[in-house]
Amino acid sequence: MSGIYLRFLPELGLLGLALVLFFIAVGPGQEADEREPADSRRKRLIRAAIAGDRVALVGGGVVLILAILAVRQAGPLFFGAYRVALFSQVIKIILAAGLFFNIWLAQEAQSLAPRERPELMLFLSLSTLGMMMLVSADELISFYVALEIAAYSLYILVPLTRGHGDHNEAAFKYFLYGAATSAVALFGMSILFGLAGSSSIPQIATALSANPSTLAVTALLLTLGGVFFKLAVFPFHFWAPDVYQTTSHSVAAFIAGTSKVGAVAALLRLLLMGLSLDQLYWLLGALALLSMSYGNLAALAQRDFKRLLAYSGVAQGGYILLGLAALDSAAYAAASYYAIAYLALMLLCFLVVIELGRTRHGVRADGSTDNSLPIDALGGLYSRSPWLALALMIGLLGLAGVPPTAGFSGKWFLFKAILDQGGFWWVLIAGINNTIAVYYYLVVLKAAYVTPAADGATAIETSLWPRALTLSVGLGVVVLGIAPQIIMPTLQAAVSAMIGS
Amino acid sequence: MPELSPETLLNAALGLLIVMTLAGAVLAVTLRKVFHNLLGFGLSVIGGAGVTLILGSEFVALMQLLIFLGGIAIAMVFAVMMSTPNEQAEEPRSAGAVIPAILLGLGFTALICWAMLDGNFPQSSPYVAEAWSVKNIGLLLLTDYELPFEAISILLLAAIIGSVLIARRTREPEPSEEADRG
Repeated sequence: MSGIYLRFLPELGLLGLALVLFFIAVGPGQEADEREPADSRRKRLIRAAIAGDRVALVGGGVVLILAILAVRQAGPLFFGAYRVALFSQVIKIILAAGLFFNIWLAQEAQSLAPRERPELMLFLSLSTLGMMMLVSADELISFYVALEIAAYSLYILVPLTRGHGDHNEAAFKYFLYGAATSAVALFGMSILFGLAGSSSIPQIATALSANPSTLAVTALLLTLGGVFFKLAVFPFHFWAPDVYQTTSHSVAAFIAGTSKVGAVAALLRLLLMGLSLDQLYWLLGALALLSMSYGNLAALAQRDFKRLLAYSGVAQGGYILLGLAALDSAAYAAASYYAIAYLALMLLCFLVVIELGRTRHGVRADGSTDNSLPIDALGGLYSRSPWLALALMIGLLGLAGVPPTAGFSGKWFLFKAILDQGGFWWVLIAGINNTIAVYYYLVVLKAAYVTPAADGATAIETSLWPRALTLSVGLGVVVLGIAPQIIMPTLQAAVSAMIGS
Repeated sequence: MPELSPETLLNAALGLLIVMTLAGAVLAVTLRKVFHNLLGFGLSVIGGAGVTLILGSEFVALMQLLIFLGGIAIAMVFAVMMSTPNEQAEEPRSAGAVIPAILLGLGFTALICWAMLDGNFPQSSPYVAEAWSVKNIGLLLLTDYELPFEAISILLLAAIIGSVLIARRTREPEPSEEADRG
């Protein structure tokens, strides 16, 4: 009996955390009282916001521990609608770690009103809960509902920033694209259900493998389209630059890192059904190459650091997709490894964005916050804050795939796995792409290390928190890069177990 | 006058309902007034419910009418009545936006139809009235589909909190926007 609860432990922990945060969000201190002076009301709201921040941080840590405790669990749950296996449990640890670090980054977030900070934590937790359920869902309706839980929370988070500005346009765009791709995915799922006569994912896999048809590939692609939107690969990426640029830094960090891991895991979950459809190989491969070429070329022209990260994300999604297209367990493991590395690198880049954002009180004429971050604003970062400059360097060099970071070993594993599958031309194009990418990452590094600081730019005081984060995540990136054997065998075993079953 | 067989009648009714569904969808997309779009949507939903009924699933057909027509369409009517300023001037749609949209839509439909021709759907098991009974659906919701059934409540909760949150932003401005920037 206890085993059943253990299997669902990380999700239960997140649900509990979400419940506590919900009570903080609506609890005493949040109601408006006309007679109360504005000053004391503001203090009350700030106290509640800080309480929410700290509770979320502790809760995030507890969920991470629960996820680690539950790693050895395996077996079905909920009458076969949910399957706990090594693969899902490893991804859940990564997601929990991503959430924990995102909450850490979002402590005392400046670009949100204090009143809305408990809700920020609440929806970060709920979105992560959706992604965790996505990895384990073994049945299409559960898969879809989990996808929507993850997505809805983000639709709500994107417009949460001070004032009313063009972030509303970005939020609306994000919501409309999300709703449209979700409808398309649902349509694909309905065809899959019709073809298999069952909503259980293993049964669908059996039916499709026994009877592959153009319709099956089309339906699977439509279903995958709903997840491509979240990964922001080429034809589904239109929301990304606007959303990254205009939403608050904390939310952008979550969308850029943790939600990408969730998307990759969901794609893997669908592909790990053990399908070997030839058309899928070519379609996914073409999508991957388009995505990385487009993302890298568009990133070259960017003047805003967050937009640049968005386009580089489109390109990085392409690399991961290339690994998925290989339809092979080594490539799947490499793609998972790369997604983990990408999450860590994004955390480092957004640490810099958030800490710089604290010093830039960008307010527009209409009272809305300016959440953009021009590359010029990074000028002289090295002299202003060596810690942040270090975080930026590890992050960008990792994205560019320079050893000894995890970004390098991730690309190494990916390219090797694809070469083993005979995809020489794919690796060649990906390699050319990577060379282009090095240029724009170095442009940012040059701004941070060589360009002198703008007049009036003062030193940035980094407190203990960002330093600790730089050290822990930066060290993690390097250690993982030098010794990938720490997690690679686990990932390989996890992926093989999923394909085998 | 030739005798009409029940099958012919059923097929005719099915055809009529399909035409109704499609016509409703076209109205919902092409008309320029939001209220007219809603009426088209309602027509489409009624047609869809009719198709479901003919396919032998009374409960789902009834739910479709109740939820989509009685719930969602009515809620949308309320939303339109409360939010749209009366008789907004309507800008004509630009051909530059409409033509690619039509081409894209037709292309997608053609692709799906082409793929459908290749698909071989398994023959469904013979119609059993018991399989679609309310009792059976209730049992399934508490066994095989328990997880999505529970997860949907989390999703709805998130959506409700979110809509309240976003509505609040437009209603009451933040207290002392500037003061706590500090």
